[in-house]
Parts: sequence; C-alpha cells; structure tokens
Amino acid sequence: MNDTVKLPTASEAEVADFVARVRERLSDLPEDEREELVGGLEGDLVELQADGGSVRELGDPRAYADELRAAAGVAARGTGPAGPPRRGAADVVAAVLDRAHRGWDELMAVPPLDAAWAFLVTLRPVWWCLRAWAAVQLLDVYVGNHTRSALVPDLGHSPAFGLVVTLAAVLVSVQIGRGRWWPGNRLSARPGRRLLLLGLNVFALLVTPWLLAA
Amino acid sequence: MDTTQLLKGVLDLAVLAVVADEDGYGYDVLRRLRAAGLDQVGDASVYGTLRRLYAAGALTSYVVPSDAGPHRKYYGITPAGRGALTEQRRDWLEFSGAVTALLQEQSTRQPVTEGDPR
Repeated sequence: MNDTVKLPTASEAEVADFVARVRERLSDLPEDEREELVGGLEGDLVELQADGGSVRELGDPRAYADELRAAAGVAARGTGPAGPPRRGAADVVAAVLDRAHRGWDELMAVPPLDAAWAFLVTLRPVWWCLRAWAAVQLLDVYVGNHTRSALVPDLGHSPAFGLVVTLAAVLVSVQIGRGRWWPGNRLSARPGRRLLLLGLNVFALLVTPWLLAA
Repeated sequence: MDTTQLLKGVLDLAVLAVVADEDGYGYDVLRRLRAAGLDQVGDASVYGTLRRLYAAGALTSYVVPSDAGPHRKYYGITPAGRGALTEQRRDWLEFSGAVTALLQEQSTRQPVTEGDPR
C-alpha cells in the first residue's frame, strides 16, 4: 500500500470506520478468512460514496457484517444479533466506547445537528493543529517563561526553537488524527489506546479555551 | 410479493451472469445488477456472494490498485464458473418458463383480480 500524502476526507474516514466495525464484528473468524470477507470492501464503499451514496444508508455495520457472512456462506457466530460475547475489562471498555460512539453518531444524524456536525467534521484538521499548539503552550507554562501574548512560545529558548517544536507537534498531532501514528484513531484499535486518545482530546478541549482566553 | 426471498435463490446465477459478461469489482457488480432491474439486491449480499463463489472456485480474483483511494478487488469467471452458469441458466429458464406457463394458463381461465399493486 503506498503512503500518499493526501489527507483522508471525512467521507473516507467514515468508510474506514464502517469497515473497522464490520471487521470487529467478524473478529471470531481466523484472520485470513476475515480478510477474505472484508478485502476490497473499503474500495467498494469509497466508490459507493463517490457515486452519491453513503455508508450511513447501509445501516448498522454489525448487521451488515452478518449479511455479508451469511451470503458468503461462512458459519454464523454463536451469539444472536445482540452482540459478541465480551469478557475482561478491555472488552467492557471497548463495548462502552462502541455504545457511546454509536449513540453519538445517532444523535448527530438528527437534523439540524447533522448539518452542524458535518461542518465540524470538515474542521478536524484545524482541531489537530489547535491541540498541538495547546500542547506546546502548556509545555511553555512549565519550562519557559510563559507569556500569554506569544502566539508561538519560545520554550525558554529562542523563538525559532519554539517554532520548530510547534511544527513538530502539529506533525505528530495530524499523523495521530489521520490514524497513521500511535495510538491510532481507528475504532478497531485496542481499548486502552482509544481511552488514551479520548482522554488526551478531552484534556486538550478543556485546556485550549483557557490558553486562548489570554 | 417479497422479492428479496426470490432473489436469494437466484443471486448466484445473477452474479455469475454479470461477471461472465465482464470482470468487475464488488460495487461495479452491484451497480450492474441494479441497472438490470434487480434494485432490491442487498449490498452485503452481493459482496458475500462474490466471496463465496470465489471460495467455491467459480470466480477468480485480482487486486487493482487505485491512485484515488483503496484498491479494488476484481472478480472474473473461471471455466468451472462458466459451467455452473450454463447449468443454472438452463434450470432457471425451465423453472421460470414452467411458472410463467402456469400463471398464464390460470389467467385465461379466470379474470385476474388485482391484489396489492406490488
């Protein structure tokens, strides 16, 4: 897979999330069998969206996965459509996060919230930059002589140094946002990682207004 | 009538016919089925059917990278698939011919009373 520099669009991210959930629903299958089912799906769904359709019209990704599995003649999983059996703390966390995510998606599908949310989703890259900036500002509070008037802090060093650190932070933040770098932003990521990313985002969300209020 | 039930029985045949016509990837096959009038066909059902026919040896599969996005998984028909298509086509034509003849015979004997407009 070639690593293009192109940012994933909101629509591509939607497809990737949908496929991740389908894959998760098929998690009881051996990997090769699962990939046999899911392989190519991302390409097909991107095409569907390009054609004016939407993965949202496909309904619940778990029901979709069940239909895919049934049509492919792969034995159904033991449990009913209610959900996979979950055991252990990590699985409980994953289930709670999944439920919250689904609830949020459903809420954001209701007009007029859907339009507002679609607008906000396109602003994701702005948020990635903003949170990187917030992290550097916060660092400056601890290591530099923080003055709130400085857009790019000097980190107790020089403005150039501060600028380099800020750019590096933006790079890291954007790569995390794109799901390229640890801890990843996919729904299929391990629950601990999802929790970590969620915690960092919430923290950034709380601290950014405080930093901006200077 | 619930055409989704009918469709289940002939989806293999329809998918084989479409792919025999020209190689295609999942969404392309779906689009061609719908364009042919099978508009109730389910997205995941078609993709699952393609995977199953591939596993059964009726289809081959190859990946074509795309500049614009994720790769596409194309399917083509195998000689075994052509054999299955020929056989199933014959069965379907016989079967549907028999049902059609039955219905036409009946409609000449009694005036058709329209049920639900579906």
